[in-house]
Order: sequence, then structure tokens, then C-alpha cells
Amino acid sequence: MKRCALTFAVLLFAGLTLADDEETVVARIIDSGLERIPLQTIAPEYPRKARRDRIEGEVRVCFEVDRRGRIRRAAVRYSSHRIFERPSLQAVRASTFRALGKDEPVPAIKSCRTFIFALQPAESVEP
Amino acid sequence: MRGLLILPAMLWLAAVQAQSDDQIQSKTVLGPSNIFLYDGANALLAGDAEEGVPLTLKGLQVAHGQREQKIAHSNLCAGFLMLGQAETALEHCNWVLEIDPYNWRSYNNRALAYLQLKRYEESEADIKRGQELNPRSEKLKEVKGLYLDEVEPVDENITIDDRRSEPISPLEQPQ
Repeated sequence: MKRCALTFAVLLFAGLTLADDEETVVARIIDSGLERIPLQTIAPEYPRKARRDRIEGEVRVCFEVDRRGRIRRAAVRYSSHRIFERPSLQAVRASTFRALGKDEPVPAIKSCRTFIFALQPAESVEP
Repeated sequence: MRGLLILPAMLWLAAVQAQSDDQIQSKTVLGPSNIFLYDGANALLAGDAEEGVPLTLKGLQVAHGQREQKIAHSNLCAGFLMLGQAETALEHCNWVLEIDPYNWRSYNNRALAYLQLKRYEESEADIKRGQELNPRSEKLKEVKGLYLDEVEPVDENITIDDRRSEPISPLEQPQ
């Protein structure tokens, strides 16, 4: 009886570790005329595969902010690459805005937040 | 050495011998006749290069035919890479590629060996050749990422721009 061939292509992950010591630089641009004031702004993580493949991009997420400052109905309005959408949405959903006072009306406006993911040549470290 | 987070070396492990060399392209099958190779591959799979490499060397000594030799050398290339002995790994990868120049896994492993040795141009050439043979290989993409981290390191920069807003329709008005 002819034996069936079994083949395994196995990936080895071995040592040579280096600590993930590179921090992402985050810059913020805030419009002073914003209806709602950001309380806690969470930055997305740069997707590992995007960094590996040297992919840059931009995502715009629009959302509503309820009276208590929580994010509602966040959705991607524009995206240059799908790889950035999930971290952008997660970052927006984890962010908060200042709550409104009892008599303050909830603005009838949607806020949008744009994330620009960029890679820049690493700065050389002087000895 | 910057950016070497993982070592995505490739290992071949085979269980049952049934195909001729002509039938096998990127897949490799090894018979139970060579228990050293089999056990060595399992040890390497488990991440134990200290045990896997000596077993594979024994397997190479008793290898039957070129195909078993090829598997042994290929696994030794991966094993010595795990041990951080890139020069030795290189010799084994070279052996495989001399008799099988279409073996993308060995290009993958040899690119890693060159990377460890800081022979970047040769590493890049092997990555390119491997990707020509297997354009969709995630492992080769990983190796290319490691290569780029070495020769063109980058910093991540995320800008958060809050300047846009748009009206909500009356029906959507939050409570």
C-alpha cells in the first residue's frame, strides 16, 4: 500500500530577541474651536505588519460624543489602507471627552479624528 | 544588532517516505528509516537546538541518498542559526542550494545567516531570490522586515488630527 506522504513545513522562532524599546512618537493637532474637549486621547499602535512592510497611511474616524463624554457610533470615513482601520477605531473608542454640564446642550455635530501613520528614518544615536 | 525580534528560520520535518525527488518540489518527506533526522527535527521544532543539532548531525552521517542529506543540511542550517552560529549555518544552506537552487526555504535561511553576519547585500539578494520563488511567503516578508530594520531603520510617527467635524442629522442626535 502506497503510503501517503506527510510533509511539514515548520517555522522556527528562535532567540535573538531584542526588547521592543522603540517608542512611537505621537503628535496631536487640536482645533481650539472644538465643540467638545478631549479628555483622554488614546493613540493607536502602529500595526506590526505595516511597519515590517514599510506601509504608511491615513485613517479618518468620525464619531459622536454623548453627554457623558463617551464615544458613540465610531466609523471609518476614510482609509488609505485597511491595515490601519482596526487600531484607529480601537483608539477612538477608548478615548473620552469632557462631560457636559446639566444645562449644556449636546452639540449637533460629529467629531472626526484623523490618524496619520508615518515612518521616518531613525535618528542616528550619537556615541 | 537592532531589530532582530525573531528568527524566522525554516525547518523541514517529514514523517513518511513515499515520493520520489521529482515529485517533491518545496515539500520534503523523510522516512522513519532515519530516526536521528526525525528526532532531530522534532527537537528543533520544539526549539531545542542544543539537542536537535547533534541528532541531525548523526542523521546526516547515516543519511540514505541525496534527499535525506538535503533535509539534514537544511535542518542543520536552521539549527545552527538558532544556536547563533551563522557561519556554520551558511555552509549547510550553501550545500542545499548547490543541489537545489529553487529551494526558497534555504534562501530564507541563508538570508538570515547573512543578516547575522552583517553581509547585507547577500542577504538582500537571497530575500529577492526567495520571493521570486515564493512571492507570498510570510516568512520571507519577516526576513525582509528584519533586513530593512538593519539597513534602513525607521521610527514610527503617528499624528492625531482633531480638526475635522461634520453635522449630525437630527435623527442621529445623541441623547
